[in-house]
Amino acid sequence: MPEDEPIRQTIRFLFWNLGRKDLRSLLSRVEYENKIDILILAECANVPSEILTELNQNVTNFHFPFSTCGSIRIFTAFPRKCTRIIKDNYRSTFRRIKLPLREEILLVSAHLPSKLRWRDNSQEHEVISLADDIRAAEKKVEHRRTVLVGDFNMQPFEDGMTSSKGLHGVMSKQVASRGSRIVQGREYPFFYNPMCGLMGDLSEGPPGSYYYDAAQHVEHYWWMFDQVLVRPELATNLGENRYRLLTKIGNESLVDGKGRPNSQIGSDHLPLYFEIDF
Amino acid sequence: MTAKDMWGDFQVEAVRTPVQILKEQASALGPKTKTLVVAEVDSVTEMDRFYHTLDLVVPTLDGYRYNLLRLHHTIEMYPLQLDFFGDSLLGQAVVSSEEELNLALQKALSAQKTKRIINSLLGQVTSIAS
Repeated sequence: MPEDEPIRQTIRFLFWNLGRKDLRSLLSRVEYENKIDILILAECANVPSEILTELNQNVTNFHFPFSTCGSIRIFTAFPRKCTRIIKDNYRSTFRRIKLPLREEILLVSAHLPSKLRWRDNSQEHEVISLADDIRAAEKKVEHRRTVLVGDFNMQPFEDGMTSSKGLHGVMSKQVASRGSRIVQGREYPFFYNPMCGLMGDLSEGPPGSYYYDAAQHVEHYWWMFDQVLVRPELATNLGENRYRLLTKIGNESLVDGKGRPNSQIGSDHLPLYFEIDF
Repeated sequence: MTAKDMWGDFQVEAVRTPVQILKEQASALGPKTKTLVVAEVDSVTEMDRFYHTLDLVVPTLDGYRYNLLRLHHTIEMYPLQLDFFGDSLLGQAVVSSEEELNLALQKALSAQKTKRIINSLLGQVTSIAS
């Protein structure tokens, strides 16, 4: 390896919308089983000290870098000084993650408003603000090694997720490798969104991360609300088959007999696990 | 003609600096409190002095910080001054060696006042959680 090439390390992430349930014992087990480095929680009913106490019950690994973001809680298995907050909004948080001898990444996590309360076009407008904030943060940190993860309350193929003004996610690594595209004279960087590959019955896991059944004409039933996207600069660092929705923690199944999230045991969302080398 | 190098030769000696000792002690607190209360060291230079402060930090209490003590010294490192704070300056010590620094730090970090402060912070974290 050339001397100036940074050492690579696999960092394991878990994002989980807990649905305001106290799932501390499941969190502790999923962390132990998967050796999670960065735990990102949405709709977390517990205060951070309760989660920390649970995670650090046997071995003290986890830290809680203080943040004013009310919707997202991030716990890291490395010292607080490795995480620096660039920006906190109520529904999103922007962090620099710099581990010794590794390249820095920008971690952005968001929990966007629900379709139960917001119309699709309001969601699309909101996501434009998030995309603007991401580009501003990238300008500030002077790189685009960005990981974006969260509960977007949208399918990966909806306009907010795919539009150049929105998150500009594409399902093909090859397309994303173009880096950006110009629309009407303005340049918009791509995100690579691998989550389309986890949708439907042909995927190895469940068809989506959330199930909803409403008596209306258009209903998708399965929704992939919980997603990870990376900029093309990190697309190859997110290895094949190294991102998946978890349906089991230990012997506890997170899905019911029909394969849907079982909120009696876990949350109404399934946890999203992924690994990135950097 | 190449200018004559008038500098002497340098050898990087394996010296344990005061700030290194302070950081070692800072990193020892987190595991004792399940990282509910951690210690952090910040360094600044002012005029000809180096200042290293050790704060108790409670990330889950909106990042509350409590300045527990401070070391400061010149480029020579020793003698250095250790200022131990409670609500106000509780004590000062001038130490002239690594060994004396270890003793002074142990005295400050295990002082009843320090224990009371950490217990109070842990109590507040727990009572907010319950």
